[in-house]
Amino acid sequence: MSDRSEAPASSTMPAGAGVPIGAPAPAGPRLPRRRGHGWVALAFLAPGMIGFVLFILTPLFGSAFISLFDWKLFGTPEFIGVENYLKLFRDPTFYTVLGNTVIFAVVYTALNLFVALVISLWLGTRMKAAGAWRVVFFLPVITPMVANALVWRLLLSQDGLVNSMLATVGIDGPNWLSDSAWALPSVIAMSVWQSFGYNVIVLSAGLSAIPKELLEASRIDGTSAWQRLRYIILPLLSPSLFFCSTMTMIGAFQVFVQPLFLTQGGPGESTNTFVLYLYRNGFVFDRLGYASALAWILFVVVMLITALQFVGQRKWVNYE
Amino acid sequence: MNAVSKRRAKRLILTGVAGLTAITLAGCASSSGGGGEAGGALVLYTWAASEGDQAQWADFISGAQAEDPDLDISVEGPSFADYWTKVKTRLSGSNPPCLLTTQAARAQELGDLLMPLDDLIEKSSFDVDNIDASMLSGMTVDGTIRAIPYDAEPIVLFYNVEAFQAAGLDLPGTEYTRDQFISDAKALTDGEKKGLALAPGVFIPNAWSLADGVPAVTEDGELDLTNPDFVDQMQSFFDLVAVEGVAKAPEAADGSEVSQQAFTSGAVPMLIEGPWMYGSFADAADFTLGVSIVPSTSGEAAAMTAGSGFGIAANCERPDEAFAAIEALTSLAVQEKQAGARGIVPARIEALPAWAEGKTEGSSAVVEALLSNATPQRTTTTWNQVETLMTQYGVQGYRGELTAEEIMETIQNSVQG
Repeated sequence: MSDRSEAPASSTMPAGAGVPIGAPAPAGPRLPRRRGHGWVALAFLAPGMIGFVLFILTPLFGSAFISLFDWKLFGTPEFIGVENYLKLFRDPTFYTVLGNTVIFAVVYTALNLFVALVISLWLGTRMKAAGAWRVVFFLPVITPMVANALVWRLLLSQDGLVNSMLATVGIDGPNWLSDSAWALPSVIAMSVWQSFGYNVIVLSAGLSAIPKELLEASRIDGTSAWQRLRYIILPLLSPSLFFCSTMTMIGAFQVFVQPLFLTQGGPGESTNTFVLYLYRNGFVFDRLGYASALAWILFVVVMLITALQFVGQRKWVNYE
Repeated sequence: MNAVSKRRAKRLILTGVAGLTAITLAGCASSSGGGGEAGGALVLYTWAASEGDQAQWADFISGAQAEDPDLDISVEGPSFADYWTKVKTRLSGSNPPCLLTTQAARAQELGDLLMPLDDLIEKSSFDVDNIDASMLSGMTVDGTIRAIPYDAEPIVLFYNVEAFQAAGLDLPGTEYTRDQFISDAKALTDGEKKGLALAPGVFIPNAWSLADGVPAVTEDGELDLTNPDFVDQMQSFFDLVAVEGVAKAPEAADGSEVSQQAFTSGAVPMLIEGPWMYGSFADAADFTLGVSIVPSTSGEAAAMTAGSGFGIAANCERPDEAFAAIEALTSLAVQEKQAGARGIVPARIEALPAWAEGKTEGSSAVVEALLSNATPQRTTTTWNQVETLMTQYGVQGYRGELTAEEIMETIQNSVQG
């Protein structure tokens, strides 16, 4: 490439050598202009840029615009300014779905990371067929969530497999999906099962990058398994854990399919989540403006929580 | 960069631009298809995704073409579940269709999309007196008729004749009191095996309430869920599970197919549903299908009618042609054919005898009795929200965790808030 041969010409002389202080810097040797590279770069970037503009930026600004209107799917939208946002803060269901979503996100993320970490550590031992087990744990991630939710609905229904199995040991199981005390935990359990396999892959990769010599040396020094986990593995795994926690939390705030197919948001509002409420407002209740306002609030909430995670990482994530 | 590289880069860019242009044009071409409103075929936009739906519309069109050989109608549309959202966006787009379908329950919601038909009815001397009055009332929005119904389906109680006979019970017919119904349901209930199958949502409880003449919506079209009479009706329906123990509480995510399968499999001997299910139930069940009225306090027949009809899009540029097509689609011959072959209860009163063909004895007497005292499923523009909230909260009503008063108050406040 021509730019490689050009580089040494300017680097042979130390910057500023022999130039009187205060004198204007002499013009360096004039480099030939690199013509044509911009077009090539643009050609390579264009597909991604077009996709980004069409599918990210346009809907983003489009929804901000729509949120200022009383906008139905049919008819003429009416400009109402920030009324959708004001109405949103007067809507008791908004606080309920926000609370449900926060509870879901926190519990789901914690459980997901815990299960994924335990299984990654287990797979990291010298066990047989670790690769096959990884595939088994990853399978729910790549199967359609709707199908998984429908299977779980059959399992957890009043006369489903779970209650039948409990009955065999003399336990009268609750109505998992219709009891307001059990519905959200059931949705969380199904969601964790569906997705922890992804974090298993990420954490396994992080574990395999930990130098074996370190663990070996600590073993020779007489450390216990707990000490190795606490003082070597977790600190060195912290970048992977941070990535997993951030991505899992962002995904958790967008939970939609699981409550829709398991409980329809019920009983009452006990499993109604932010995105389910947003979807229904937009495409069932015919209130696109209000749904867009909800979407922007969700965007701000997720941004704040992600920012908090990034601030918090300084205390526990080790990049050394 | 040398000249060859430059030419390659230019070729790359040109190829990319050409490709994107082709994709864009292909997208435009596909989105503009199917309208045909400037001339050519009239497009009927309806629920047309399933094979059954497509066969039904093909029958309607072939029947209409027998009436008017020049009639040219093409059909497009998504599944029934998606239709109600997509019809709004389809009509907002370019080249909208002229003909639409709607239901009495959705007429208010789609009111802005549908052209008032009163002038066209008068101009063409269309005889509305021969159409079921309750359905015409259901298709009326702001005092004007928005669609011509092709069916008028009074909600009925289906029952398993053999199960009744085995329990030594009299078969219900055109009269059925609630006391007798609960007594029969208890006799048919045995531990976990219940007498009545239930689906979530407001549709069936609303039919139960209207069997006693109590609507959820006032004459003025206002939501009236907290009306004490309506609350009492809802409580009596919830009590079938929580107090009487004759039904199992439905789960919120259950579709209507769960209760239907429980009935047709013989697991549960009674089910409240629309008569449009008669053919499907008769095919699926290996017992004799009985039909009675939805029980009322007095025992007299009174029905909530549900049904669908054809309307004209508010922005249609060929309303006269479209109305002529609707006249052909809802003609006597077409409705008789649909009633006989598909089991649709026709909205045209003269065609009603055709529904009796192939049905068990007494079924048509029940339908006739119900249609003689019918009320449409009158709704509001916010009815979708009522349906959604009733699906969520109904579970707690059936389980006895919340009273009907609490649930109706919550729904009314949420919808109006």
